[in-house]
Amino acid sequence: MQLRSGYHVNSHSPNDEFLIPLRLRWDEAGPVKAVEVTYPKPELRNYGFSDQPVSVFTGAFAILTRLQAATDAPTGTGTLAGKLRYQACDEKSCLPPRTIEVRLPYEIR
Amino acid sequence: MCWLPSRRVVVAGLPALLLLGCRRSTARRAAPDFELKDADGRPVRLSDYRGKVVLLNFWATWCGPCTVEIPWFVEFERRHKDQGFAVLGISMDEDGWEAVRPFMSHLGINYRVLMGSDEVSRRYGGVDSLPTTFLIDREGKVAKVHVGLVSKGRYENELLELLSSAGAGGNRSARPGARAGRAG
Repeated sequence: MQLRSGYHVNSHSPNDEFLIPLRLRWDEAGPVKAVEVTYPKPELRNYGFSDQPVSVFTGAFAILTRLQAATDAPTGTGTLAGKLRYQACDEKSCLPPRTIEVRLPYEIR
Repeated sequence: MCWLPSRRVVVAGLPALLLLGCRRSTARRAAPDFELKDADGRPVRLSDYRGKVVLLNFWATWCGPCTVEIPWFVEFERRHKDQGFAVLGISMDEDGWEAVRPFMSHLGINYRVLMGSDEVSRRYGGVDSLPTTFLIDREGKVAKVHVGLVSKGRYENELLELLSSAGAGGNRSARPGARAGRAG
């Protein structure tokens, strides 16, 4: 993922109950399942709008997903679909939460 | 200053020229009216507040910068409500009152909070970035718009200016019959 300069998204584990966490969820139907989603280590950043450091991601970062194919899955290519929910802010303002479709191509050999 | 370049201006064009040349570029536009529900389910219209200076704040519980301003607005409401001033908060939370009520308690919000809608956001130019705040004069016109966090002092100066502006009438309250002024 690549965020616009000056913006951050809340991490998957924000340290305020009212903040919206980053969430990647993969569809469970199909021959391939996501068995683990790993987020990077969040940054704890100070912003003028918070009296405590905020758990965020900025700039470029990757979310890793470990996939597992069903034992009877046919070989070949496919696509895993999922949804990414995020909420972004800069120092002075916030954008509404968004949920976007994500698609991950894979190959079973 | 209004200035006419020539006395040979055709009469038919004069009114338009006068309008173009003399109209203040800062002319205020009417704040779009709306009807939204408050935390008790009661309908509230912006027009209920005609005669008051209104600070109309679009916000959400998940918006960090919004939480900086809210205590200021609580203070403004307490200090200036008897001078014909009211804060109206419009929450843009998708999760509705379930998310907003605990937050109102958490921050001790003493002004009226309404649940926003896409329609009201659209009427106000498509409010996307939060906080977005409109300062509305006693005639129901938008005097200032702030997108994003600005300083408390700036808000206070602007609202004091609106409260004391010519023709404002000092302690004027809302029109008879209006339902304005009840806190949250």
